[in-house]
Amino acid sequence: MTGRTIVITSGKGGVGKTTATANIGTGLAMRGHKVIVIDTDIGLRNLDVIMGLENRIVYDLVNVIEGKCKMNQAMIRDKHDYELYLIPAAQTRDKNSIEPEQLRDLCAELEKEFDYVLIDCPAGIEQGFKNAIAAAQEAIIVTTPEVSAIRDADRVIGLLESSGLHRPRLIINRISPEMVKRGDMMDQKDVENLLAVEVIGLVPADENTVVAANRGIPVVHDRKSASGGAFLRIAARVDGEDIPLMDLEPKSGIFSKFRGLVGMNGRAYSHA
Amino acid sequence: MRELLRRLFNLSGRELDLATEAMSKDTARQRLKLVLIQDRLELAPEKLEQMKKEIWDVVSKYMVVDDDFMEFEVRRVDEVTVLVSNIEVKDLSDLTPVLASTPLPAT
Repeated sequence: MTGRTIVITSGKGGVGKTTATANIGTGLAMRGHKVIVIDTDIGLRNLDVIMGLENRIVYDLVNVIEGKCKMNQAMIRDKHDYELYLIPAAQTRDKNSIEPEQLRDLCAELEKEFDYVLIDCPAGIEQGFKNAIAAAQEAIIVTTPEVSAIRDADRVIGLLESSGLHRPRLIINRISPEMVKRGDMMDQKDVENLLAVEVIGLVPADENTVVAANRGIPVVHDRKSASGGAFLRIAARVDGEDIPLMDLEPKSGIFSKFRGLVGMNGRAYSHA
Repeated sequence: MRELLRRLFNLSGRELDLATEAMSKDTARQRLKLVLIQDRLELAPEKLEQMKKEIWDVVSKYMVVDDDFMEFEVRRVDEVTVLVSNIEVKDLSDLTPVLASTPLPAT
């Protein structure tokens, strides 16, 4: 078996890399694949808490790379009944504890055993970023529709290109359909035109992701939630399925439906 | 960089004037367009400085131009990236004698 190693990166911090990694990893496992997610944010690990596995850590990434434990000793199996594993980052070391080649070798080993190896990249473009991208054959960039996140994403796209990681794909996270509708947030087209990369997913801002993080259960488990559904579709696209991007509609509650009706009546009258 | 920021500010300010009800996402898009061009410019600052000097040298062969006034920057105008340079011509009346006394380079 030869798996695919995909790095999830962004440049800017706090845009949702770890959340995306946990959800895409879980989504791929839900589709029946054998998946491992690696937290490379040494010193600031978080993928373990997002997945609710923080109490099961014995060994970490640096232990494996330094040969202090066997590869499978550092793999923590997910709580749910999927073939999903996590290698957590070391919390008490720094980014210089590992070399790009070491992570590359580790991922090459993991690719023999797993369908997907997902690397959660730290924010920034320094050593941690260089380590994370060295091992990957593909890249997914996470951004939000904000000037700072898009600027950093563009910088990262350039750096990925010069490292031979061509055609990264983009997730636009935390889109507020209401703000897009009133022209106060850039939409998919705006971001696509600026960054000139393929968009692989649009994730709406959704309170469910906060609840999911609180509980340590990735939101993708809740297929009916707006963001959970979005991440499940992203996982399917990563997996090669051709699913068109859905337009994110502002929430249609009873009130807005009522307003819609009034609007229609208004038009009808104006025509009369 | 400071010059660019100034221009950025002017541009978005002008656009805001033109469209009094400008949507904030359009402002964001316009600002980003320019910032990304600057960020993507991979020419090292010293190379850019060298190019600037060489262009100045060529122009000064034909005109009397200000010794130190030269605007030089990469900008995006209507979907096209352009290199814009403004050089102050010091004395127009000096132009003819200078042109006449400077032999054109052989082509």
